[in-house]
Amino acid sequence: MKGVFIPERDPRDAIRFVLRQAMEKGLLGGILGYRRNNSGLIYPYLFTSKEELSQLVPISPVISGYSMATLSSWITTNGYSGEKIAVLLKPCETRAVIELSKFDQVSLENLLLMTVECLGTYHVLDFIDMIEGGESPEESLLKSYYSREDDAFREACKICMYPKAPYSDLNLCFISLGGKGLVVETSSEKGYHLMEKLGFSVQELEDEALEVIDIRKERRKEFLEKSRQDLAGPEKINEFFQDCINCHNCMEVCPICFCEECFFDADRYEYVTRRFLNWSPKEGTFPLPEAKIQFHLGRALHMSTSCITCGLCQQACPKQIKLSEFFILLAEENQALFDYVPGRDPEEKPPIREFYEEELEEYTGGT
Amino acid sequence: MSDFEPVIIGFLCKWCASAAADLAGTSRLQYPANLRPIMVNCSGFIDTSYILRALLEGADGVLIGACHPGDCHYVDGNLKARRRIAIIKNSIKALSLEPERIRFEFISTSEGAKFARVVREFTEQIKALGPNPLKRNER
Repeated sequence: MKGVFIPERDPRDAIRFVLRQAMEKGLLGGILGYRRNNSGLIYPYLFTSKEELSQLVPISPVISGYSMATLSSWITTNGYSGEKIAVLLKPCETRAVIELSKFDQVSLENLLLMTVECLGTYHVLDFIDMIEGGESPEESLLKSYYSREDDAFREACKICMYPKAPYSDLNLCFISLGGKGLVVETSSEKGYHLMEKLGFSVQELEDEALEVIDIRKERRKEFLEKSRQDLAGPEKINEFFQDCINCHNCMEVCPICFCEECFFDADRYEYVTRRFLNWSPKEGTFPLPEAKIQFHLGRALHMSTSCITCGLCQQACPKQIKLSEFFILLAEENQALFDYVPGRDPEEKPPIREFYEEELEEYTGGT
Repeated sequence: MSDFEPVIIGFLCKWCASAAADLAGTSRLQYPANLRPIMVNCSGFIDTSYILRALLEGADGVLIGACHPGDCHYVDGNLKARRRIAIIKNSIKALSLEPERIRFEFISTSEGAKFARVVREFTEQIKALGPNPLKRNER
């Protein structure tokens, strides 16, 4: 692993220091990251001057609403801007950016992906509770990172296997240093050149894996087992989605769902009264014209091969449906089918864009 | 259960399976009337949500007829279809539903006899499986 070691400093100061340098030298036109407002809430912001950087939250305790991947897509949809924009991302968001680039939704040319090492983030509601209770979510987050405690994080985070992104321009690692220093891993040519231009000397550094991975592997297995049981058969699936109000928030925040207009937003579900009378006893709740399973499973069939299991769908759900159980289960199964890991490599084609004459024989004919 | 007559939706490619159905007809080959054929321009046009919707809204089985690999009129629509079928079958299996209710077959224009055989086999198979528990409409 190649990188730059910035010793002694608090990792947050070190990240701000690197970014300030890059802005001073005119290497970056903007930085997409989180900013804290006066009431302590954190929201995404596009920083355009180095003076603003004091408000930057480099290690955000929360993904507030939309993922940074979605925002990256919005700011690069019209191609090359001439300005390089650095994006501070969580590993799941970086993987989503890579996936979006495969579907031509992000132009990687303009972006410098800076992935901040991550063991998880808080649920947005827990985050607000913490602020109201006078606790600093940022400090609590770092404390639990350093002690490897992830109980308070979102469910999807607790079983995440990617504290570090498999592909990124720069990986900002700090957890194993315990608050004293920052390692900027130059994982791509682009990242390497930026650090060189900033006057850092890139060296060969020792690679350290975080010890949480083994625990999480076990936990993930248990989680998938539970999901499989919770979703076994039509009755359980109906019960699982019983509370759904068809708000489509889960689709709206999903970093992978990039369609301008969703297939499931079209007005094609209009039925006569008799149909509703038929459905009501079957579903045990008000029957929505578009069956809930049609929307959720249908959406999963469209995006599960690229699902980066960030769990934002569950965070956005106003009814607290455990959507990550459903999506992580299907993502795991469908990605295993094609031996595919989303976000592993920008050159790799996603499964629904690649096909061969001789494959998948077991899905043809009477099986 | 013996008087159960399943509803089978067939998405048939215009260039192959649909023509094979015509050939089966003109050759006077018998096959069950449970199939409701829908001609599509290419099997690559069939979205997974169409199959899912058919199963939710009353079908007991879905048959997809596509050209043999290499024969697609639009180069690779049939191969795209196969990937999608693999994804839907795999997902349905993960949710403990029945992937056997979806059948994907390569049937060329000249294979009228194969078409009739496939429909016969599939109808028998669905009859043995019984009504689709997923469907929310009674006819």
